[in-house]
Amino acid sequence: MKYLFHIGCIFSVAALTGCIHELPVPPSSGKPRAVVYSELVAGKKAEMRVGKSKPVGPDINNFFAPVTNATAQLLSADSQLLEQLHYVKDTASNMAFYRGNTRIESNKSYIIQVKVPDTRDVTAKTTIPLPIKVDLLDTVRTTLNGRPVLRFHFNVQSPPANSRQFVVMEALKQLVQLDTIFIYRNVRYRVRDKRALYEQVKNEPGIKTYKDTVYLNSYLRIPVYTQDENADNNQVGGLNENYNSILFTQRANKPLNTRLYINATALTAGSIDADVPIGRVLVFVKSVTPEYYAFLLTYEKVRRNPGLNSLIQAIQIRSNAFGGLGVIGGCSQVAYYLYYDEL
Amino acid sequence: MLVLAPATALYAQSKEDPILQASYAPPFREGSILFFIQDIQRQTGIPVSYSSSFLHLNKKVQLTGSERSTGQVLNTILQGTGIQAAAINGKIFLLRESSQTQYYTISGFIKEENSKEVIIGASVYDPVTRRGAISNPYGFFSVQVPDSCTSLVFSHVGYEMLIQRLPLPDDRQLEIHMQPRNPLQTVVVTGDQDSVTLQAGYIKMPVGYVANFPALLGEKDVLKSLQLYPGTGSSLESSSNLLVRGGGADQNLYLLDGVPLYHTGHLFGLFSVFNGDAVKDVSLYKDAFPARYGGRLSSVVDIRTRDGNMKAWHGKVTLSPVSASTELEGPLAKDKSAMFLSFRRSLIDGLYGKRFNQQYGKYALYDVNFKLNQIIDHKNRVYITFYKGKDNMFIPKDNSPFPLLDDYKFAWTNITAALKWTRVISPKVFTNTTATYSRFYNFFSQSSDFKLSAIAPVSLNGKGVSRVRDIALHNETEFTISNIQKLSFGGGYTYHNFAPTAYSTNVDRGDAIQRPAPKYYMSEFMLYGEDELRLFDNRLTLRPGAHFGMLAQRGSLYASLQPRFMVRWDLPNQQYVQASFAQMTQFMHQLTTPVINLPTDLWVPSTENIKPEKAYSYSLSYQKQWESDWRFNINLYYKLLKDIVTTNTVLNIFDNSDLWEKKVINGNGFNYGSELLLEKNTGRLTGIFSYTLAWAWREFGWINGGKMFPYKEDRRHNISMALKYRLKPGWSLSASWKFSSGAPFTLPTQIFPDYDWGRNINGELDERYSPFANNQINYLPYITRLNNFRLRPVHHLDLGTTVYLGATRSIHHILTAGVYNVYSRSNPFIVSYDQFVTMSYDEIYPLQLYQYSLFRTLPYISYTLKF
Repeated sequence: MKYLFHIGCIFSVAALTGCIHELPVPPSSGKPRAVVYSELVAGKKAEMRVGKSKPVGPDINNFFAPVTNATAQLLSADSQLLEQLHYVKDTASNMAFYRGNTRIESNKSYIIQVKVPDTRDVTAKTTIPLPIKVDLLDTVRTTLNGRPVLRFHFNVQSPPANSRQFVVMEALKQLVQLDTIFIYRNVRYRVRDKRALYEQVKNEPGIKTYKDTVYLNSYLRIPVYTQDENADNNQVGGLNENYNSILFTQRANKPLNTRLYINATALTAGSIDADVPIGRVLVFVKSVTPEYYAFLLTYEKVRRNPGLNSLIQAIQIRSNAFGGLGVIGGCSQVAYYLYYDEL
Repeated sequence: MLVLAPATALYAQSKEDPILQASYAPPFREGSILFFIQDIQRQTGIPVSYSSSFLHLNKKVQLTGSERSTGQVLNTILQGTGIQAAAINGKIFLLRESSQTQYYTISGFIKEENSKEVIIGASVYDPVTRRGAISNPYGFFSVQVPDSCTSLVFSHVGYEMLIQRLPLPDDRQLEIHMQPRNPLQTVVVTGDQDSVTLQAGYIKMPVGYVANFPALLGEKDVLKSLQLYPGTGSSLESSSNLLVRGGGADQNLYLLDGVPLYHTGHLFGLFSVFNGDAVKDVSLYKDAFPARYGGRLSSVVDIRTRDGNMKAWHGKVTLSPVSASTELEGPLAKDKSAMFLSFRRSLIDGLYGKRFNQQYGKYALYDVNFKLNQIIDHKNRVYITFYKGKDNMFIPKDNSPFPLLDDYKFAWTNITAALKWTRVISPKVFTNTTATYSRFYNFFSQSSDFKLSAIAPVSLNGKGVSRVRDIALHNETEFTISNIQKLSFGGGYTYHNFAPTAYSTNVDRGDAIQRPAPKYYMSEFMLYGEDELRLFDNRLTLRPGAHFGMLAQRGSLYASLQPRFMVRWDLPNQQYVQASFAQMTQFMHQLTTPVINLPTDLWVPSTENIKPEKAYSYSLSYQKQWESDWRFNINLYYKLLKDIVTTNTVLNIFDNSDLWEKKVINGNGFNYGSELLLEKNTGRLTGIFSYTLAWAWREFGWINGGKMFPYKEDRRHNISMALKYRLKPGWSLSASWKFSSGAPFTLPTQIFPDYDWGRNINGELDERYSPFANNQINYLPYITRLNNFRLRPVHHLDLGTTVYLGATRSIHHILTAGVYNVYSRSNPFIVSYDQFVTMSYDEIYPLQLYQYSLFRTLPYISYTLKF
């Protein structure tokens, strides 16, 4: 038996000689493509984020430089230039942010055209959906599979005859920065920016201070859940799983009566369960274009698993950005703003 | 010379001859032909002349009672034999009619000399005409031989050839006993086999192959041995997951003593559940499927276990550092009843101590095979078979290699049982009726101290159960009409009960809707018929057939008539060409994402929304044999798959039955290729070489833009070489080399900023309910085509040796040793683009391909004691 044990040790060592190798990635002849993310929301100004992809090849990493020299244009359905969007400098933004002044109208078609040096031009056409009609019947704090959740009972009115409505529900927490503003010699300063000056003059007479709240370009995604068997999330995973968004394909003349659950852990800052930052909660119920919906559905699958290992079949993300990557989606939405945190 | 002359002319002249009118009173109304001939001679004194070579003298005959003369009696007893009595020169001659040679039927069982175990697939033939038959899975044969036939030859792989002289002394059913060859002597696939069943798309693997060639950890594995043949392969290195001609592992029908098995993997498919020691016969059908088989698209693997020794008690114990196995067989009543019992168990959990188990987890598997067979009389026999195999696995959360959030426990069990009754209804008709039970049960649990929230219980406990249960009754009948025509027909009923995963936890469900776990109760009916015809002096063989299957359950009913056809033309010098067509329908689908054989892969039925899968298989083959030494064949095949099912997402293995119909889509598949086999079965050096050139494509409406893409199991080239050299009668060396082209893999063409990351949306999914997403990556893959990249090829050279030590008359010692993957090739087990270990969006790191390998050079040794 002792002999066997020694042989066993040899076996164990031999079995563990299996190891990890880095394999060379074949060189790519592909060129970077422009990446455009634009959600054109009815009633809001046109916005988009522009970046560049990286061809997969040897020696690449996951750093993406923002593309600040793009030409981003909003055109009408008949290709008339409506506006050239301007780059908005925001060092906190991961992708270059472009904004215009044109307010997007529902039931209207737009063309987005983006030119990024050394890449092919990106074009996409989208028609903004009709306004979505949502009734919030009630909200309840409850639990779902051991989690505290906030339940929204929605009734989404049916789309017009012979059409379908692609409904997306999601929740975000927009982070807030609390700051103090002081006025010294009739000049307005933020304490955050002029801390030394503030310390120096704060006790001087005539110094006025007051609190300010700044909504940051930074969000926290709140996991959402559904128990609705008609949700297209059932194509993605189980009903007890969490999602970025809950997706429905609503047929004509069929109102959608459903309950959306959002994880309540993140609602209030200082929760005992997690280190949740201060902010406000945004809950969106959107009607989106079919292409945008297809993108979101595949995005949901990829977020669960990029599938880039040999055991799992990869998922392809749908896109409508011709010549580039990303998505240009039209959207009509209803937003609910919830303020749980004490500011 | 006169007795060989046609009788017509002579009979016309002599039928009124007085010696045929001579009075004769038979003493009995029943007796053999020989008895009445001898009695006529004795009573009347008239000499009767005949040739025993064409007259079946022992045939029992019955008189009507109205016979009063020699002629009348002879007319009655010779009725149907094609022989007539003629009076010539005061003598009676028994002469053949003008028709051609007469045939009579010989039937019986072929058994092993010592153990009386029935032999499957033995050839029985007339050495002159080379016409004959093959013993069926119960050792039964029925052959018609000409009256001029003076002997029958019996041959089989692994047994000494036997010649039986004719005519037989009496009319009894024949029982042939064949002498096994020396266990160390290489098996022989005799070139004399003449059966239509021995065709290129059908592999009857010599059981010796299971033990002859080197194996991972020395574990004899039936399915891995089958992978030596062309057209077969596995999804991963050294996996027992059998893939046939571009089909998935779920498209093989595995029958263990006629009982279907749904899960055939131990240790996630590293070993199969078929214990090599318990197996007697392994058959693999890749095309030209006999009509009796149905229910799967790609292949049928029909495995028969040993019956047990009818003469004496024998046993065997095998010990290796990783497992132990034992078997016992013997007569319960000599020559009447025997049993066979085998047991094997892994030893890793016991030998390497608690610390090892805590560090790496605990794993154990075992198999029990039991068979009892009882001869009731020479026409009836009953078999009872039982199999149970179980895997137990425990992975602690704080294990060294891969720390986890939870403790995991997996346990899966296969149980099969069968009661089989075989009956020889007549020398030409054999029937077997089988009642079977098959159950696959999978249990898993998770347990952790991870709190979901402040309100959740301190520890989370979840468990899931899935089950497949079949109860069936089948009948198969063979009717050998003549040597040129054989009918097979039968039918069956199977009651299926599928319960895909039901998962539950101790957490408060709150608002969550309690859905009853899906359960399916189905009835499957099957009928088949097949006619095997040999024409043009046996050169043309036709085998038309049809299989009818029907699945009925609440809400859906599917019926399928599946035509089968095979045609073969025999050429001179042991050559033939063959073409076949088969339609197969699969009512059951396996939902699986990974390529490893997980017990959590679910079996679900066709439903109102999910149609049965269909395969239309065409093949063309050529085979040439050189006596009994060499065999060469080449095959071309094309297979069209319709309505095959795949998942369009990544299934959560813990909760994947939830509304599963919404996660699957139907599509098509196209598999085609060619296969080449060269086999040498005699001499000191024996071996097999096989090469497969193959393509496998899939096409689904919502995947890859609706365009065809390579199937995950597509391998362009597969090469297997296995050699065995007998140094001495008690010592042999063996080597095998396997090569398989790289598996397809989807490598993104580009990566681009993640949608949420691009919009400054941070945060992670709630990983407790999505076990995959536990990291943050800031990019998305842009995939132009699925499976656009090939991983590195898999190949390894294995060496082994077997030595018989200190053999005495009753005890043998066998030492087997070897080395797996001699040149320490790092074969891809999992390949990943990016390691997915970052927990933050902000981390910048190089993106690489990572290959995880499982086995490098690995020695094995085992010792066997036989008595």
